[in-house]
Amino acid sequence: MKGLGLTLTAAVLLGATIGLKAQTPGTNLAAPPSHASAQRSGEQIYRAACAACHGPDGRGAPQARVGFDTPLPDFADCAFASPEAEADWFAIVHAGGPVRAFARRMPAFGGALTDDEILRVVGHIRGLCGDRRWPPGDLNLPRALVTEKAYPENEALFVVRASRRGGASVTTSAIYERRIGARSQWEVAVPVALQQSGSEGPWTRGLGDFAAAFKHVVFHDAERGSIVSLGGELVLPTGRRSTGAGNGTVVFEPFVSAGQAIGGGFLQAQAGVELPGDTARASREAFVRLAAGQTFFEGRFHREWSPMLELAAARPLVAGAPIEWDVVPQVQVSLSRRHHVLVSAGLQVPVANREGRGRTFHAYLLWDWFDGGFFTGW
Amino acid sequence: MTSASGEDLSIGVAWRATMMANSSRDPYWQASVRRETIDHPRAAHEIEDECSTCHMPMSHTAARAAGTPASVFAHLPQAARPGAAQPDALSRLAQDGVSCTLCHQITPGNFGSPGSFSGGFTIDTKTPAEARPLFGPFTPDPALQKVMHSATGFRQTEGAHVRQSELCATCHTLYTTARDRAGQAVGRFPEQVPFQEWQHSIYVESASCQTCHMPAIAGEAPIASVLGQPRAGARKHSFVGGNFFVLAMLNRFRDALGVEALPAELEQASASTLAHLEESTARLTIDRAASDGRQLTVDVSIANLSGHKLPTAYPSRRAWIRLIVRDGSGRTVFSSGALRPSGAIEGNANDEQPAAFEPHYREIRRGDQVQIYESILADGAGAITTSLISALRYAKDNRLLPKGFDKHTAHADIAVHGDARDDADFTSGGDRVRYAVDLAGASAPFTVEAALLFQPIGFRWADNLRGYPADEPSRFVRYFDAMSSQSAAPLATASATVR
Repeated sequence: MKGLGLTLTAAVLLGATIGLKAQTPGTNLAAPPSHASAQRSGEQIYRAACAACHGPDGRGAPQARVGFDTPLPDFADCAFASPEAEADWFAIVHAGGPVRAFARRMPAFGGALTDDEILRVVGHIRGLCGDRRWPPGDLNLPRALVTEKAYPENEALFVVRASRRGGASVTTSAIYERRIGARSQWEVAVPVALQQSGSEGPWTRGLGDFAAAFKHVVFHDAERGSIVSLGGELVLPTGRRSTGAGNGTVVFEPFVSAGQAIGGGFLQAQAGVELPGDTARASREAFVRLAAGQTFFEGRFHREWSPMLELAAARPLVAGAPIEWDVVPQVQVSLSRRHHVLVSAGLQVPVANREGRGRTFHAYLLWDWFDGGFFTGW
Repeated sequence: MTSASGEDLSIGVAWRATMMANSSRDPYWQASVRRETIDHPRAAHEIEDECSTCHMPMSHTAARAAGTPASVFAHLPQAARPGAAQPDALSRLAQDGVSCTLCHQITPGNFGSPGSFSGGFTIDTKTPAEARPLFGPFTPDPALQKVMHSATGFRQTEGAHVRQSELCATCHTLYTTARDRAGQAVGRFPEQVPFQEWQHSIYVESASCQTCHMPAIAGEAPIASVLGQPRAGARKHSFVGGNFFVLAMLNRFRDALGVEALPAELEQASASTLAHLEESTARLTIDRAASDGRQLTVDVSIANLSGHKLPTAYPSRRAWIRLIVRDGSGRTVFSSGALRPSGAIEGNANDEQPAAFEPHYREIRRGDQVQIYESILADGAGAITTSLISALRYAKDNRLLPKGFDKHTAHADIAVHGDARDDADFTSGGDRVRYAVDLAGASAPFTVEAALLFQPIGFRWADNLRGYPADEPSRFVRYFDAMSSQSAAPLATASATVR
């Protein structure tokens, strides 16, 4: 019953996060100057300011026409145009390509167009991808440490999780995520566990449990800032259970993830169950995770800081089992100018049913490889 | 960018099909520089430095600013070759010829002074790049200044001096250092001085270089494709001149020369040049055509409509009168100045013998006499030459004078040389020539066809490159031979019938 209650609680929380009106993230709009033109549509502004290089259809004017060999993006390509948040588009139009480490040939229009005009032209550009199946990048909320986000991504991560429960444990995982089409994503995770036997014992190292996952967006609403995905993860027993590096059994983990943008802030939620193949080796468990945070920018467009607070609850699906409640304060920071390499760190602190459970340090280095090479864009 | 009538006004597109944009790709220039370095091997570096000043001005200026000598051949060839390394930044600047940021960075401080000539333009290389002005004729919009600065690093600055002839004169007035075979400087030669010719004409008060060579755009037109505001008085950057021939050559051999302008753009540029030559440079009239049964007398007048000598500037250019008389049956009774397929002028002594040349004529009686308006160069020893570095004086200069040009008060640098000096019919604004044709029994009616023809590169100037043991001269001679029959164009024509 309590497991059911936990799931219902999760459902209510997920529902609560959906339906709130989203605002433009990150732009921190200034009051429009007195000469702001409310008359020109985004398309008109695009034709006057952008079409010479980007072409009337957004696919890029021919190289023979523009006279330079810097590759021009294809705004009509949804895979290119949809993943970035409006804040990034706004920053590049306002401050020019270099603000996100793109070519200087992309001018800064901040002095020539009002914020409102830039928003209108960005709206037009983003509309050039006419396929509404692609969720917009504004729903690509900052990645929390334990809550799976709903947005499908092209990312590579190096994740560290360290805890001390009797002996120390450090698990490092390499995670690769790849988007499939408009709404789906697959991922693989390869963990390496470093375990200490007792507080003074020797360290052992070995492969952890390999995981493969799939996620699919089932609902998104750009206007409301909402996104919901269903997914599942399959954990294979590649780690040695005897050293604590693995479960020793296959585990299937279906889940639902949701995100809600609220201005510069956001809420994210995930709920699911862990279903081991061998319940003698691992227990069935339900979990709910919530993350709330806000993104701030240094200056107007520069380094991005996203402090977050996660609340994680897990309960074995066994009668009378207590719920384990943890809080995870954390902060994510962009490292590269392109904001495609980020780092995040936080501490998972048990707040209920703390017996035998210590604090866990989490950190990741994230590379959004679709935005460019790791060493480009700095 | 388009005008209200839909005409393409894109500055970059117009510019890249001009001789300005292709100043370093010009195969004739490359061949000529190579020839001069072969003729004067001890001065090869100085020659490359001198010639790159205006033909590769951006790489030249950058090299000078960096304290290194400027070169020509280090940046050649320019065509993309499979497996070859990408050209470095300096070579890319060299390839870009006379580009936007060259002319629009020139400051007016020394305008019109002798120091400004022969590539003496001044560019502020001391100011940090992000603070440098880029001059234009209009008052910049402060908002658009930021747009341009963000993308280029230049600050749009109003500078009316970009519309002055003195800006063009920094390169189109060229005094070369004359050298002997040992490479020693022996004098200074006014190789091309259209600016001074213009100063000595009536046009100095009414028109600048830009007036004719950068045609005005009617009405208002944007000058930028990014948020460009309509401006009155904008000008095309087509730099229309006289060199239709090398434009056509660049197009035909575009791959070997690394040309970037599209074929249609170069075709248009060449066609516009031909139209300009035909409409705006000269007028030919047959003032009198009469026969006494034994002799046909034809008086031909040529009016120079340009603001400088015609032809002007680079001395390979020549204009001449082709006059053909046919009898009633269509048989040619007389011909002077016919163009051969080789590009040579029939009857021209200079095309037959490099050391000879046609004098200036007041009256022409034979078919082997041709009225050619040209400059003939001589070296320090008096030998006729087409070597700019060897040339020290003009043996002949009867190029047609612009209106207002008084040959008696003209400075030595723009003086008339040879028999034209004493020809009373060779005067301000043009020339008159009499043809006295022996009819040899031919019967009327007679048809007289007269044309003023023009060649940007005369036969002798091309043929003298033949035999030089280097790629550039050999290549140019091949190109010339392939296109020689298209090397001339009519500037003006007239006809008359004598019964």
